[in-house]
Amino acid sequence: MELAVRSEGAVTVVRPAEARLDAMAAVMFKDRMKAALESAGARVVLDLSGVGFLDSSGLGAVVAAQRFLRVGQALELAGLTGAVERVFRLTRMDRMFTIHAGVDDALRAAV
Amino acid sequence: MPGWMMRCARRCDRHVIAAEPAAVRDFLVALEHGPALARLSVEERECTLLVLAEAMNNVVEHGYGGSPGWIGLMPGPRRSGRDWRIVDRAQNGPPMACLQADMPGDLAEGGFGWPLIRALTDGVQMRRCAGFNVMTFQVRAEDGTGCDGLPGAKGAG
Repeated sequence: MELAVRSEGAVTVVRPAEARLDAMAAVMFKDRMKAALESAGARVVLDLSGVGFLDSSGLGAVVAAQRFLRVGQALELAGLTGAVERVFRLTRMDRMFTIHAGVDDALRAAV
Repeated sequence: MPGWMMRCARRCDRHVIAAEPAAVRDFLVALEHGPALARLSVEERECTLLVLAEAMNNVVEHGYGGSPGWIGLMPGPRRSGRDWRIVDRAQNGPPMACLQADMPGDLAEGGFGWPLIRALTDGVQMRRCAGFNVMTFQVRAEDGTGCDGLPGAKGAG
C-alpha cells in the first residue's frame, strides 16, 4: 500500500495508490500514514477517490491514523466513492471526520 | 468438506480458499467481475462483497487465529447472488453474541465487522455441525433507499 504525498499550498494531500484498503493493506497503510503525517503540515487531506473497496480493517486503519496527528494537525477526507462512503456512514465514523466531495473542494474549503 | 454441506451449489459455484488475507482478496476480486454477482445492482454487489469480506476476515483472524485453514463458499439455494453459505473448520466458531454486537463508539479502531454484517443482511444463521462452522446469510436487496434501508445509501462506485 503505497501512498502518494503532495503539497498543495499549505495542505498536504495523501492518496493511496491502490484501489483496495482491506485487511491485507491495513497495517501497511497505517505505517505509511504515520510517516506521511510526521512530515506533513497542519492540514492533511486523505484523497480516497481511487479507493473502491474499504472493509472494517481499512476503516480501522483510517481511524487509527488520527492517533498519529500532532497537536494542531487535522486529518480530513475527500472523494469517498459510494462503497467507501457507505462504510463510514453505517459505522457513524463519518461524524468523526470533515469529509469533502473531492480534493478540489477540500482545497477551497476554509481552514 | 462433506458433500451434504454444499449440495445446493453446482460444483462450478463452489469455492475453497486458504484462510489467508491474500486469498480472501483474490477471491473477492474474482467474484466482483464474475458471473455470480452479475445480476445485482451496483449497490447490491458492493454490499455483498463487503459482507463476504467481513465474514471471511472473521474466520481468518478469529476463527483460525493465524493457523492454516480453509474457507468454503457457495451460493445459497435462492441463487440470487445475495445469499451465501460459508463453511470452515476453525476450532473457534464465532460467539453467538456477535450477532447482537452494537456499532462501536467514537474513535473505535475495530469491532465494526459484525455490526456491518448485521446492517446489510437478513437471516444470518450460524451453527456448528460435525466440527464445521456454517454461516448462511442474505444481503438485503436494494429497495430504493439502499441495502441498509437508510437514505443516501445509493451506491456510486
